[in-house]
Amino acid sequence: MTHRLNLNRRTVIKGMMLASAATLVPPWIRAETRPMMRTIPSSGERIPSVGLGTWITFNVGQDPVLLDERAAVMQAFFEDGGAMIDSSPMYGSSQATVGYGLDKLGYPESLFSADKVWTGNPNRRQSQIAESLDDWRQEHFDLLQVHNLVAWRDHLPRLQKMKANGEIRYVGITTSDGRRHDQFESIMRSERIDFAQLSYNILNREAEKRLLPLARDEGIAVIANRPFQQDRLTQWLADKPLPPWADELKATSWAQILLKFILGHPAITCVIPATTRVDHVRENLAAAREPLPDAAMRERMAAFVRDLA
Amino acid sequence: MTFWERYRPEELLLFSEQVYWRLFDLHNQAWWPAPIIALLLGGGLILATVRPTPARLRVCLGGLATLWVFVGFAYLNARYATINWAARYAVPLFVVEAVLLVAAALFPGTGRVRDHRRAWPGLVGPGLIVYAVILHPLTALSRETGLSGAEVFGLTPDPLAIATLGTLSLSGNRLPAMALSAAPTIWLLVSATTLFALDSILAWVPLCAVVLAWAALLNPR
Ligand SMILES: NC(=O)c1ccc[n+]([C@@H]2O[C@H](COP(=O)([O-])OP(=O)(O)OC[C@H]3O[C@@H](n4cnc5c(N)ncnc54)[C@H](OP(=O)(O)O)[C@@H]3O)[C@@H](O)[C@H]2O)c1
Repeated sequence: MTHRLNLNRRTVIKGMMLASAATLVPPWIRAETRPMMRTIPSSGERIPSVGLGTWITFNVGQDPVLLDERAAVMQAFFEDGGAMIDSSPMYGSSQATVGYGLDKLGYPESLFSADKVWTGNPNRRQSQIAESLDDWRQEHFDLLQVHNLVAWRDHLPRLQKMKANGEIRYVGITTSDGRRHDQFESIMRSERIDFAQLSYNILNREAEKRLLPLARDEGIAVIANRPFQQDRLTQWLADKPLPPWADELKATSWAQILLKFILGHPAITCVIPATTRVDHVRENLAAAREPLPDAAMRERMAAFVRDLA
Repeated sequence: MTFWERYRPEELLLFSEQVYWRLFDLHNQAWWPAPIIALLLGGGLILATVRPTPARLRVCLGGLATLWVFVGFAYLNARYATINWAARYAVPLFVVEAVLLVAAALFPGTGRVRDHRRAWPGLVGPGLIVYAVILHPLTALSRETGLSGAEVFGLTPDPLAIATLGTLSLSGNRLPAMALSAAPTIWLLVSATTLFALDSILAWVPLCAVVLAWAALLNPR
């Protein structure tokens, strides 16, 4: 999925070593520890259903210690079968941190790069995309999204043209925290988009009313952002005992319960929790395994958490 | 405490508290031994303003002008902007303040020192300067980085802005002093907002500095 920029001898050899190491693990064991895959409706391509967000967590500037720590998070992410990394020019140095990690890890083949266009000035678009690619140390993005619908009328046709030219593979739009859902919905109905990214979590279920059913009808893949409401949910739940039904879901933490709730909705293609920690990234990927809650169980989960709140 | 009570409107923050404080560590390392030189300069500012004369005050304003340019480019533009793209928009504010300080240093009138320096408004200035130069760096002791991540006067914006307000509050020419206090005040309010959003108790420091400085600036005694 990835488009490598610096393919030198060392990275090729490193990649071959990693690949051969991976083949030493029996396939049934690997399958067991891989996150569940979901299909992108517009292409039929299957991607892992847990990705990695980068807002705040990957904005570490040029701090060498923190750059290496984030690269370690990315390494664990790829080792455990992750693919989609989501970033934006709005996120400070996050794109460059991803680029640093990709370079350090030898540009993992499984990367699914999801970035955004975030400018109100259409003349700035191309230079912004070029700078983002530079930061990511990539030649192409898999997915480009119009961030928060900023100047979407200008950007969407151009992104569609880029897709037609083979410069990107998918086009999307994003929003968060329930903002501009009416407009979001009308774009989902009227424009040819592959991905819709929106906020969805156990306490923010607004998208269930119209956007998620619409995504299924229109064949649009959905990326769920802010699964933990930017750590407020996980922090608030941290000192609360796990509910008795956590075992039924094979969930070992609140984070996994929250992710399983999201993945239990059939319209969700990928959820993108952000983290600074290796143990958390592994825990998040491990949430994308059976069993997932059905509709009745999801109601039970939401009611339980709502009561706690 | 329920979830809804915990919900805070800090959506615009792009970085974590850890990354923010570690920037000062990186800055001190990159400019070493400048922190020592800056501390010596700060010592000079303290000595000059304990017993201010018009000439001393003007030299201090000129010196502060240089530091505003330096901090604007070396800290805001080269370092803070790596985690906060909005920091670049503050650089012109720092340059304007430097130009105004130079102008003030060149005009003999601005050197006039306030009367009644023993009354409380006269003590605010030296107090703020001593805090900015000596005490503010020590707040780093409460953090992971320790003193290597200290916010040093002359190298970082908050102590520079606090010391500048302190110096200006010593001026007997209140109107120009208030005009020159606008940029440091704006910066300190921005800084307080950032620190409140990061949930840091230190957010009260820039806020209190502004309140104290303006209380002194507005008081004719
Ligand atoms: N409009 C848009 O396009 C838009 C808007 C918002 C977000 N997004 C995207 O969505 C991503 C995710 O949203 P978000 O960053 O707002 O927040 P989030 O993913 O809801 O929460 C991130 C926080 O959760 C914590 N966390 C992660 N895994 C955990 C675990 N297993 N256990 C406990 N805590 C855990 C992390 O802390 P630790 O570091 O301690 O793990 C981090 O502080 C963003 O990074 C961004 O890529 C897009």
